[in-house]
Amino acid sequence: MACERQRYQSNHRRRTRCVVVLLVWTVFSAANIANALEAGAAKTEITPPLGTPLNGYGDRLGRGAVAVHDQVWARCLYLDDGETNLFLVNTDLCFITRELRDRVLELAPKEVPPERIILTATHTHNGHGGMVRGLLLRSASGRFMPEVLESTAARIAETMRQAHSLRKRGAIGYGTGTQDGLSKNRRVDEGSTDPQIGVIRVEDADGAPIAILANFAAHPTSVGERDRLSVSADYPGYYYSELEKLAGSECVAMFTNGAQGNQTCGNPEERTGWPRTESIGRLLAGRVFDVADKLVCGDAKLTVGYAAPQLPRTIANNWFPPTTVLHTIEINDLLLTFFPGEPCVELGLRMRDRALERGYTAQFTVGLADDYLLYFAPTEYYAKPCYETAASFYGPFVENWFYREFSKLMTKGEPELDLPVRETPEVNARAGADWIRVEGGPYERGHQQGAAFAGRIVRKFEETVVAPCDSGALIPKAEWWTNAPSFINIATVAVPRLAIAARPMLEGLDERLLHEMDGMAAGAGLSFDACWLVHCASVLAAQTDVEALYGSPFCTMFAAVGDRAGADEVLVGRNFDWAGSDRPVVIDTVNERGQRFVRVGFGWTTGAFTGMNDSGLIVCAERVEALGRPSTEGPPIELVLREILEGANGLKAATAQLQAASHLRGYHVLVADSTSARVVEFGDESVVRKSTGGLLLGADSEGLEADDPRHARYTRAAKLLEEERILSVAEIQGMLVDAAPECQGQERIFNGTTRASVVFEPKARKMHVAFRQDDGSLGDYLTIDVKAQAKPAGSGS
Amino acid sequence: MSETVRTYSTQGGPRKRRLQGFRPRHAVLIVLLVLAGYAFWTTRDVHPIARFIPADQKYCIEFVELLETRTRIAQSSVWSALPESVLAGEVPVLLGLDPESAGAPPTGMFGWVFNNLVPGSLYLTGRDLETFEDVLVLSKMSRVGCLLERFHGLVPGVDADPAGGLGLRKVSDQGLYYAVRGRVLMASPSREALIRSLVLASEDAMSDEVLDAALGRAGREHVHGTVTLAEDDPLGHAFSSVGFAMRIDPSEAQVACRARLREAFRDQWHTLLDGAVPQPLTVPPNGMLTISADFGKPVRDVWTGLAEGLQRYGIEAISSEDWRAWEQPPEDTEIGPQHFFAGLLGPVGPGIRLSWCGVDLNEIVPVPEIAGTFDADAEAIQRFVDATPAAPDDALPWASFARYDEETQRVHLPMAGGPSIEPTAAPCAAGLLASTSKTVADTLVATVPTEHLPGEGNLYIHVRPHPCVEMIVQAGRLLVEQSLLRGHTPESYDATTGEWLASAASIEHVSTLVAVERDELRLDLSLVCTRAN
Repeated sequence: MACERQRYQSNHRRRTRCVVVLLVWTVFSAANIANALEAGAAKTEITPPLGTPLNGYGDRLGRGAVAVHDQVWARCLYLDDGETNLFLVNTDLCFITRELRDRVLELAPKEVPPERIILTATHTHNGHGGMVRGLLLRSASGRFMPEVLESTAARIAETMRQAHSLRKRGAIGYGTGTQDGLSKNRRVDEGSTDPQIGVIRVEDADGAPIAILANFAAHPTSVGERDRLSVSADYPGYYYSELEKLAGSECVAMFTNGAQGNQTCGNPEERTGWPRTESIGRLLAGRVFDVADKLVCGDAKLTVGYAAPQLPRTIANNWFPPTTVLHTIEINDLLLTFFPGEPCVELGLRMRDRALERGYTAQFTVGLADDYLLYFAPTEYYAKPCYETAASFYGPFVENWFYREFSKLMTKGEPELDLPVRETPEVNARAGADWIRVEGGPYERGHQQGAAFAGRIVRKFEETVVAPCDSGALIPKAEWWTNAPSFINIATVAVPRLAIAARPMLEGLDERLLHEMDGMAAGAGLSFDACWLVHCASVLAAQTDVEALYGSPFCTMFAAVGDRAGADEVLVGRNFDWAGSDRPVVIDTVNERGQRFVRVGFGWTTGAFTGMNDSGLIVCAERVEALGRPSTEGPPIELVLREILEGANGLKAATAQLQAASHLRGYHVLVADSTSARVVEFGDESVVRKSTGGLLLGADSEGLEADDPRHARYTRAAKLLEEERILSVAEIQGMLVDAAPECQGQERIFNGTTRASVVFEPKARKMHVAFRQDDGSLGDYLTIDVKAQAKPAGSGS
Repeated sequence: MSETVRTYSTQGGPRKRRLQGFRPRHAVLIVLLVLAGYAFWTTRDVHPIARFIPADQKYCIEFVELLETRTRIAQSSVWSALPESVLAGEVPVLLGLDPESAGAPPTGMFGWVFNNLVPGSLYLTGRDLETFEDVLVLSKMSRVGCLLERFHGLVPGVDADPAGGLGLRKVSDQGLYYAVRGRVLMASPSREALIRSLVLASEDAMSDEVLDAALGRAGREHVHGTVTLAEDDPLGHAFSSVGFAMRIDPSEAQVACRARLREAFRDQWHTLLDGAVPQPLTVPPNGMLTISADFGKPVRDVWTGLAEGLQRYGIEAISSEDWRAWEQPPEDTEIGPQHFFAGLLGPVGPGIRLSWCGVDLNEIVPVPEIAGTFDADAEAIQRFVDATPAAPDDALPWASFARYDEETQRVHLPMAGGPSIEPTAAPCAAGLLASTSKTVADTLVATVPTEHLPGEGNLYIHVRPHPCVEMIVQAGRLLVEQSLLRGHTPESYDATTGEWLASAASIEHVSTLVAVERDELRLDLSLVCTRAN
């Protein structure tokens, strides 16, 4: 009995041990299964019926395809590491429309959640269109064909189902190769290109390739004009054929385009027509196969990042929805970032640098993914007129927005912080003006100003940009625009077009000022382009035959120098005239470097019509119509003065900086510091005028026509100045309210449009400011101490 | 025999005896008889209506048996289907029917009185065609109505207005004067107009025959009448007089008009109207808005006639010079759709059928799809085919050159966008088919109707408002979705167009047939609603 019990116990222990071993084995094997990669790939032809419009060229005018040169395909890779699965689809289409994405997600197999389905287009310009419902993109994509949308979406979904059903134990490897000559920068000779060819190889347990994916940046636009209406995958079509020939027909060749915004395909074998297309595809396939053939594949950890963030505000807000879709895929240490449009190559290269810094060993940028928001140009191109920038609508810092948003999806490194924003500053209404103090970095300062004056900035945009576009005053006089039916809201199209036309005026502006305007736009709830149009609407209006939006000289100005200023050495008097109804604003700025400057202007501009900085540098401007129209070849004068105010140190540097602004026309600028003063006259050439006899007037009255109201005004100013041997602040203040009865209108120093009078004491770093009151008189002077770290303007007198 | 002298007197004796048997009821009876006799006598129908209508009135309208028909007229869905701007919604109110009671006739004592005051037809006449301030309303009352009117003094608000013995009454709160002669009731907001009517010499009044002929000029329906127009009256530059007859049924209205053309107007349109006589018109291709016309001349002359006529009114929408330039463009001109159509259609006709088939909302831009069939013999078609210039040898297949496809016998002109912006022409059973859309042409070519419309005329127009409005609304929505429609957000657009759609939905179709017969223009219009109240 005992023996039996022993045997029983022994058996029991043995059984228990077996169960434990079995359990442990099960757990470990389950863990192994979880880490084992499954992969499947499939392709389905999506060639549309003849007559379907092709997508990509506006000059096709939406005409339908007349022939098929080579089929177009949807290709899908299914990956599953046991924890994360995904579908990566590449289609021979120009771009992925929202309509297509939405429908594909409805039809897609439910094994993969929608946020892990990534749709990309190769950007062939000979793939079919007809899948855009919105009117504005139909010009490139052709008429909307719901039946084509449906069949394309169904075939893409079918490809996914096949890839999923063909899944098997697999292994994955990735690497990069280089290319030279397969792509080139289409905008700048010898400009940036991406030499990298990214390669992912997926193979089965026997090492046979399931799929090979190439990532390469170049527009598939090699098909010649006579074949414009032929369906073709362009060079990716030849790449597929060649690669599948090299790797075996069981392998699904895949292709994702890179940061190809300004990249076109090269022609290393110097062929023409289809042979050129074939050459690029064949050469690309050869290099991809070389890389893929050497890759060692294994299991991988997959991570899919997904976000549907709010986009930056855009001037074309009627064309684009407010959110988009962003994806990242991480395969071990490889990062793929998917852009919903056409990023220029600079964005791809910078994205890669950032990824490598964060610890990834390789990074591929994939464009044309999941959505189509046109082009994304780098900051430095935004002011340069070219096709890519003309099709960029998210401001000059959209690249930074992408870096930030992608950083939030990456598992390595810390996410980049959102742009800093401070509390909206208090607006103090004093003495007929609004006073604010802004501090911090450029974006923060701009945001504070934008938020403080949001209402008037938006109103200014409506009044000086939208309304003139709507009325036809600010739209081109070409037939298309003027013949539009009256029921068409032309401003919807004209305002973005005007924004594109205005961007070259950004050229030469310091990037910090762009950041400030970006912040100001965000603070006011506008797009960067809208904010910029507010800044330069007056200059644009001056180019038209309609009444200028600001018909105001914003002057008078004069300086007493040396003995004439007594102990002060330099005194400057200035009346700020403005015909508009804008309420004057005093903006006291302390930048991130601790520099301080005070501007008297308006809430809607970051520019300076009148201002002084903490080194005693003074700037004032006067419009002189006889010297010519303001030029659109560079930024408006107030922004040039603003840069000088913030950046220049001393009169000499400021004068040099002014003279370097060769685009300026039609202005006099008075610039002074505690040592002297100058007037720079901007006509066909810039002329620098110095003081004579210790006096310097904004305009030399002797050189003015007798019927020019400035002649009487400056003659009167000269007379008043000559009457005093030594001028004081009080005497200058008295002169600025002079309204000689023999003078009328603009002939008077203090006239009906004078909004503010300012007396500068550069040596003491003081500004005395007074504003027109409701009864038309000038209010009391308030003194602003413009020394560094002084108490905020408006807080004392 | 007695010699007694007998005295006879007219008093006493037998009379006394008679009085001895007299009863008061006899007196009442006698009074009643006298009153009845008086009532009968004074309410005799001795005056014809025409006697009170001046012969020089500009308009005269008869509402036949108004009391019988007014409920039916007021309850017709026609009024709710018409736009508010034509005061259609006011018609039931103007007819004295309470909209709250869905047009039910007045009841009770008021209804009884009303029915007796205006028991038959009602006539409207006057001279002022702009303000209608002198409108004179005439009707024949029943005897009871006449008697009731005698008690006007008991009705508050009705005052006597002697008017030099004419015996007018004034309804103060309505600003209305009226008078009664025999059984004829006359009322007008204008005292002068009423007096004029009452003192009218017989030679200045209409005769029954003249009135009857004038009223029945365009037929006899629920409402019929005639309007005489001076040159400075509305439409007076075109017509010297218009007769009309209108029938209002629960869900449809029929209007017949006969308008006398002025000589000057006819001269202005002579290019179009000369030689035009009513013809059998061929049914146009199916569409939301269809037109069939035959002015006895080719399309070129119809266009020219229209252009010249409109030009006289300052309307430059079409021009005969343009047509000539399109039809015979200079050699270096790029052939556009206008050249295509002008060259194709100029010589064909005289039968012209046009249809607005729809709007292709999915085209590169939304475009209307228009098709037409034209009387044309094989020779005319061949002439056009022969005249189609060959595309240059190096022309790309999709370049905008008119091309003739021998296999399908179609001429087409590729343009921007897809097939809905590809003008196409082909021979068909009705002659020649031409369309702005290749798709429409392909669909219609084998099915174009060849039968005739009922009746003869020169112009037939048929509109189905709801599909038309719906198409326009859908096209507009595409614009408003991208802020391309001035003054509208999607919400405001839906609110506005919702009203349009609802209004248009109540009309099934409107059709009109116009014929020119020498110096008279005949127009028959039919409006059919989708529902009957």
